[in-house]
Amino acid sequence: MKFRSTRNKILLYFGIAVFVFIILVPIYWLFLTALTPRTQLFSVPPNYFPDFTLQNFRNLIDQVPFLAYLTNSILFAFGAIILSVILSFLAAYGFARIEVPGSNFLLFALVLTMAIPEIVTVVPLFQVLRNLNMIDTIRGLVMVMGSVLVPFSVWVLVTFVKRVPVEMEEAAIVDGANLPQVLFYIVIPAMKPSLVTVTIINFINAWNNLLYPLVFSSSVRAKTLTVSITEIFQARTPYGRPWELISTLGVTMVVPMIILVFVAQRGIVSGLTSGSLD
Amino acid sequence: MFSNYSKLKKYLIFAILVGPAVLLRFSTSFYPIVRTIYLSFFKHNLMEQVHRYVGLNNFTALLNDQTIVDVIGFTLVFISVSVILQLILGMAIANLLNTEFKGRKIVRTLNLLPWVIPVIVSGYVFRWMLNADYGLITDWIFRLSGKEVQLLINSFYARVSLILVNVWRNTPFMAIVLLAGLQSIPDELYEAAKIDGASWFQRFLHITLPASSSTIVTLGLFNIIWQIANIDIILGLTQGGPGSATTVIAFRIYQLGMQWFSWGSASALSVYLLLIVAVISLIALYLYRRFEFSS
Amino acid sequence: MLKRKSKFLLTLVVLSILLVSVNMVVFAAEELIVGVGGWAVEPTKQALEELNFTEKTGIEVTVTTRPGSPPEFISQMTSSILGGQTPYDVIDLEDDAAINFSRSGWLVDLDPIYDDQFWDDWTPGMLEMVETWNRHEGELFRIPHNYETQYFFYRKDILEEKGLEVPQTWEEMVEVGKELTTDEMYAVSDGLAKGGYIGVYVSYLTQQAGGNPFDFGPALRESLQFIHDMIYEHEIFPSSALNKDFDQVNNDFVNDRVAMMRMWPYFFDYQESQEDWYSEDKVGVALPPKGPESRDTFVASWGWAIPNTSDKIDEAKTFIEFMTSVENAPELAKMSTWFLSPRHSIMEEIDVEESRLASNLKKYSDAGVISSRPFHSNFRQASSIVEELASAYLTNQISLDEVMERGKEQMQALEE
Repeated sequence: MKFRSTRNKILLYFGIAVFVFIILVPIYWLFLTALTPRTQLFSVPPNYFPDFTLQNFRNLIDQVPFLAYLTNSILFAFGAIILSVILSFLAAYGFARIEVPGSNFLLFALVLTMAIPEIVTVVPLFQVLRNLNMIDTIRGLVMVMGSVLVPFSVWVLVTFVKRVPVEMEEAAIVDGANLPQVLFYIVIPAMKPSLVTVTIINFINAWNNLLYPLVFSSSVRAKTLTVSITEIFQARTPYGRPWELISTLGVTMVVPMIILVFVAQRGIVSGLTSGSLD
Repeated sequence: MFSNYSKLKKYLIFAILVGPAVLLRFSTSFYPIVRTIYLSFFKHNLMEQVHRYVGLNNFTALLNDQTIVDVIGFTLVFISVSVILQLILGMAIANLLNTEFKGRKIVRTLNLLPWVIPVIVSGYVFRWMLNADYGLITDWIFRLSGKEVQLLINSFYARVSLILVNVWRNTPFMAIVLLAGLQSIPDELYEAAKIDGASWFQRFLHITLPASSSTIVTLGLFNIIWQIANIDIILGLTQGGPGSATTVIAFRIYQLGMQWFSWGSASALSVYLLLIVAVISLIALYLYRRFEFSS
Repeated sequence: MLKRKSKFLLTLVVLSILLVSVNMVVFAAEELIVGVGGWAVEPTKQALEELNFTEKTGIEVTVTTRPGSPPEFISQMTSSILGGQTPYDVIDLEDDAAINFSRSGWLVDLDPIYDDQFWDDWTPGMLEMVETWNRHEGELFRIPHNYETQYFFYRKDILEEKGLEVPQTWEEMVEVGKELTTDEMYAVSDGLAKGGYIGVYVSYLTQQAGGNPFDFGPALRESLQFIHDMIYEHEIFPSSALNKDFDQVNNDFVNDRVAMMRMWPYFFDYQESQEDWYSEDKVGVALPPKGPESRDTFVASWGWAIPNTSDKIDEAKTFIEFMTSVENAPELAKMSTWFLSPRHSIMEEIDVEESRLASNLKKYSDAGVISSRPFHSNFRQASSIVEELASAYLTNQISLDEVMERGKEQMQALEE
């Protein structure tokens, strides 16, 4: 669609400006707060142009085991990605390529599990993890998070596998290649963009997940950044919450996401709508 | 493919490929649900070390508690108002992003930001901006109206704030989904409908929605379900207060289960939540089937 | 193609190894881990150092911060203990968590540490507190190291300037409050946020009205009505307090925004840290204004406990014995008010007149206004019920009748 009249054009740019403003204000305020010295933070009216400082980052590292939590977050997210993408890729290939009675129903049931609210499963999963001795371990968190990511990944990947022309695989099999060889040399290379897309989306979901680490971790062994921010929020100061530290930690969690979005916007969108990857 | 394989071998390969994913997912989703339903018939409290069969007591006790009834009511208000706003704004944004203008690519990228930022962080940022003493939005309201407002201790404004923050976070996702639908429609069709005098909503209902793939429609519906079940925004923004004004079912389950360890009651409330989700899923199923066959 | 594949594989392998290796790192800490509230980390460290704990016992100690707010702390400990672990070998526990953990059977019996003579050091009032809040089914699950009551602080200078007397009853508080409230200053305030704050003030007033908040009886009704009137009818109490915790109220007090408040004793330390602001004739401590029944103020305490999932129970017991012994308790109390209680050994050693906290504790004690804290066996959830309904009423969402009705139903469901 194109707008032709000047009046419409002005309206259009006004609309865009409002939209961008609403999106950016909270993010701007998050960064500004993280860079504001604590002494200038609690002022009325708010300090729109504070002296910038990086002291808050130092204080954050002094006050919480930031590096340990960061490592946990990364391991948690990467573990969940590896588990979910590998299992989902294999499953998607099976669903797309092998006709077995009832496989459609199985796929449907699998996708439907996306609708199960995580909160509903928390109490029983707690008992499961306890029986497996996996409370407060990254292993346990990876298992439950990987599982959460499976249905969406399978759903998206099935569509993509179906788009890979089957002839090459068939030819390879005729030439005597076995299934792992077919997967490694033909299917995976052909699907690389979609696998990357699914990986990125899963990373975002795992990185942002709060509920599972909150409930299933209790020490620095397994706590992630999302849990850490809820703990910093609990700390009390005479001014109220330590907003400069909350924001500082928030920034460290947000920056990877922002970079990811700028690098892979197209992939994320096409993966989410799994419609128009070209 | 695999047509020359024996049936048994084919099934075996299928099982090897699909088995691990299905096992992992089902054991951590269907089993917990069965277990939740089982626990909902017991008084099971970790604090008091009891595990006793109580029949339907948990279910009736919840409904006898006016606070829970209010919580269920607010959950329904929360989700319906959120979704209506997200559809309206999402459609507007999708149309905006579908228009050609300079810098469209970057605006499309920015659109994703609210959705990729950890929800708990967004919750805290907004809580800070709404802070009664030092908040940014509080300051703006004061400058515009001269009133010193305390949005988060007024139950109505706290609810409005919660819904708006939820809309801020989830509209971009709706917009992407709707944009994908829009892009699959030829411009001419739209223009023609416009000339015929079709309203914005009619165009959405009769052109955009049917043209969108089943994936897109179901994804939109899953997004709604995720919003019902998400506790992060509430944990960050209001922690259910003031009183229980902004408590939704999912948050109450968290309190009952993880703060008070009343696992029986938490399970019974989970079952209620599952019923609500099931109703929405049935709608999703209906649409999924319908669009799958039509497209 | 091969290159890509190998790259992909390599990444996978590296990540898997990373993942596995982290889980192999066994956190076999050699040290005894002691979890205390953030404010108590330094005093505890200092105490251990000055009393040469490690030299005397050969036990290395790491003092670490535990979450300060009961709901979060309880959530954390639960997942840990149910998982058969614990982040701390010794915990400094508040009343809320102590009651819940003891009912869950998660705490080690501390009785074997002490002989009968030990208890001679404790006053009858303290022993009564130990019985209710530190014993369950005959076992001592926690040993208190302090004894905190709440004090009534007021601005001496401002009352004098306006020629006002210190209020002795609720009614007088309202009258005086109207005189004190200005554009810049509210007469009364308190931390009324949910999560362990509003429940304290409501319990305090309910006790003064002659009842227990968990009964949802007339006394609770009277106290809620009183707070509501102060906020909305007399306008001497800021509604913003509904979102504040105790630290923020303290901050308001030393910034001349509040003239009178009920507060925990840590305000004594806080006011003195405000060097620019504090002077002796600014802040007075009086007995609480009398409610319909009494002018009581209840006692809370923090104490040491050992989770039974700790693998260093013996060392933990040594630590606790050390920190509470008749010899060391007075030394600790001298170092920090965090370890102050009216145990005989402490009161003999401490110069009561010198210590602002000790002298006021004595004043309250002599006046007989210190009483025990309203108790419930599922304290955490019962408190949540009171807090949520009180907060809903004070933000005008439900009526007082509804508070009573819902509260009774919810408490009954809790008992069933």
